[in-house]
Amino acid sequence: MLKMQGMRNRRLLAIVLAGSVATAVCAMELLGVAAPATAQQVVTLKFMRPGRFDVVERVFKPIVSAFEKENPSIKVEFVDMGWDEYFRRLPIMLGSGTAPDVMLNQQGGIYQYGAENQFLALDKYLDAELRKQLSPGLLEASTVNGRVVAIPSSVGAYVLWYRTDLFEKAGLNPERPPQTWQDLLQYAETIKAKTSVPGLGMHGKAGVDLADTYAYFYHSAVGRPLWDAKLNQIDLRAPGAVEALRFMKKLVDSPGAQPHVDQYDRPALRSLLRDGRIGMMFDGPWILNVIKEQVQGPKPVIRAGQVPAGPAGRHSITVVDAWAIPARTKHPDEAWKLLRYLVRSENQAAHDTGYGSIPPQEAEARMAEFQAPHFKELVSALRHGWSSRVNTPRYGEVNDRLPENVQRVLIGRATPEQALQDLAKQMNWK
Amino acid sequence: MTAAAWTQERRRAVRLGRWSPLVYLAPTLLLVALIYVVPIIDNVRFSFAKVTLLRGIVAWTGFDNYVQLASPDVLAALGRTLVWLGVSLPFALVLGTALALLLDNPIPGRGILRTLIILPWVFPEAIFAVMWRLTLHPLLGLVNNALLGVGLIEHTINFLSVDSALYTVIGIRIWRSTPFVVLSVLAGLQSIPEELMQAAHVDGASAWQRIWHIKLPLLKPVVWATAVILSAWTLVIFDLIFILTEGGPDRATELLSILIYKSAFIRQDLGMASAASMILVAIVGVFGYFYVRSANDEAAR
Repeated sequence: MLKMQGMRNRRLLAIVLAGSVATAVCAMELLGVAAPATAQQVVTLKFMRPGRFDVVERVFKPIVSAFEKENPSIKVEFVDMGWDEYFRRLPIMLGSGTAPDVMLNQQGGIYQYGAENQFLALDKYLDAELRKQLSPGLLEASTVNGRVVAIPSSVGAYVLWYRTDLFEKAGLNPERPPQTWQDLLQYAETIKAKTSVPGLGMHGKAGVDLADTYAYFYHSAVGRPLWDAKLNQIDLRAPGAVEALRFMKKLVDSPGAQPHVDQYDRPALRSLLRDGRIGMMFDGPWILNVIKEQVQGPKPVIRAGQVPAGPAGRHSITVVDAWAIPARTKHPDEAWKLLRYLVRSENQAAHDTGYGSIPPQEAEARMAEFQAPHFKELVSALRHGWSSRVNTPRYGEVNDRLPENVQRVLIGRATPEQALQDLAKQMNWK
Repeated sequence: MTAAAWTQERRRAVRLGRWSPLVYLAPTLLLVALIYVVPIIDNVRFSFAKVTLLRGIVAWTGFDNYVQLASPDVLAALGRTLVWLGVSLPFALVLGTALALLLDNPIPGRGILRTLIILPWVFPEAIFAVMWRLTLHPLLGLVNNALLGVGLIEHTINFLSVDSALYTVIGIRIWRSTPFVVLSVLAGLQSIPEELMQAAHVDGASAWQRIWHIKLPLLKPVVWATAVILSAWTLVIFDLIFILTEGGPDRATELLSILIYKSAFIRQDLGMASAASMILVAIVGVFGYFYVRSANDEAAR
């Protein structure tokens, strides 16, 4: 009995102790609310630039540190996320309100989630000076349903990168890269015949890169952008849609291309070009991180030229990634302050040189860093390029099914006509 | 305290005693419920709805997602998954058992051989997959360069082409899962009484007869349990395939696990992904049932 009594007493003591602790905690909270704030409230913003974190830190830490010095009431936390993870997690982060306050978004995501009002409309923040600075057409790429939802920052366009040493060995003039599709085929075969090195690197791995490459051939065969705003789909029945695919297949099958295209994506080809294992490849400015040394000097080993013209003219693709603020951010004004700081000319220039992208602002394009010949070609490509973006909420699905069907043609599993018919059926398009 | 009060106290203590195992297990059960049961319930809910990553459940669709499972894409993925299992499992079992039987003998270099055989099991799946992707690369990979170097081939081989990719990844899976069979069978071999083997030897049984008539029958429960566990693991493999081929080229390696991923995260059709994953749950559940049954039978014996 005494043992039972002892147990009851211990239980009672435990309850009283727990109750006292709970009361003390609540009292502390109440005191905290009741007491006046004595220190300035510091706002913490989350910042994300998808990609390799070592590069993010190298490029943005100095910029962010300077921003924090100018704005002592704002602290910035970096969020580390690779591009693969970004694509998977973005809808979840936006849907749950946990997206970083300032983040760079891929162009498809800007449309897809901008159309769902997941990004803050920036019209009221956008100052006239910045509006004037941005190259024409770029702000349009970040406008969805009449609202500016992002500020362009990481801009690319396709050019043809080529090795001058292989050109010379093959008896081709490095000052005159291929001007037409027929030139392209002929140059590729000549390089292979004279040097044993595949003249053209073609990538055939299914993915967004392959969709972009098809977009270039489509633009240059059809004579208009990939996405037809009136039809609200890719116009697969346009004369030229099939021709574009047919020519891609011709390139891949030619002796001039490297074999086993389905094993290569665009990043894999970059090292081949750098190492002289292919003569030419299509890519944007993103290759610059890999070929930094090869493009330098008075006689660079690798140069850039405009993409060859197709039956409907010369029309590259443009890719516009942009900074956006999620609509559910708790600190819109502070987030805009950070975003605006990131796109100051000198900071945008650091971003562009750090990552290899085309300067989106006209003043920036005049800076010394961007006067190299390859930058001039890239800026010029922006002018005749069209966006490869598909303006649909089914952006993810399009960029899965389109490259899959393009790949089927390249590896001989479908004819161009069949592949486009299958794509139309899969997407319920005309 | 009166006798009646004492009896009441004792009864109460006995009742509390009955509940106390549950109390101690409660934290673990809660964790299991949160990690396993709740997601499965959610998955079942999603399989009857249109669900997006952005908005969650948008509308209830009844059995529409399950009807879509009869589409050619899903059936093809299911077929490939069954081929993946049906080829990799028997090979891994036979090879693993043979290696275990070999390693059970005092052969020279047995220690090093054991280490080498276990090595594929040690690496995380993702690193393993990246390693093989580089090794098999047609231009830069070790295999092609070695074969070209010794003159066995004149042109590079694309091991992950549309015609060969599925069998290449099956081969890699066999290489990866054989060590598990080796370890399991080796453990089973330790439980075979030495006297049995000696008696058989004295009776004139050859080494092969001892293996065939004594070791293998006694290893049957171990091999069966290993087969069931390996089947369940093999069915849900994702990272190896995704890193090697992403389900391509032209869906040649698109197993159910890859299809589920693409439906959920690329096409953002979580309802369809949930319905497809229920097939996997059902198949793995069947294997699980057989495993539990064999474990119970073994315990009863």
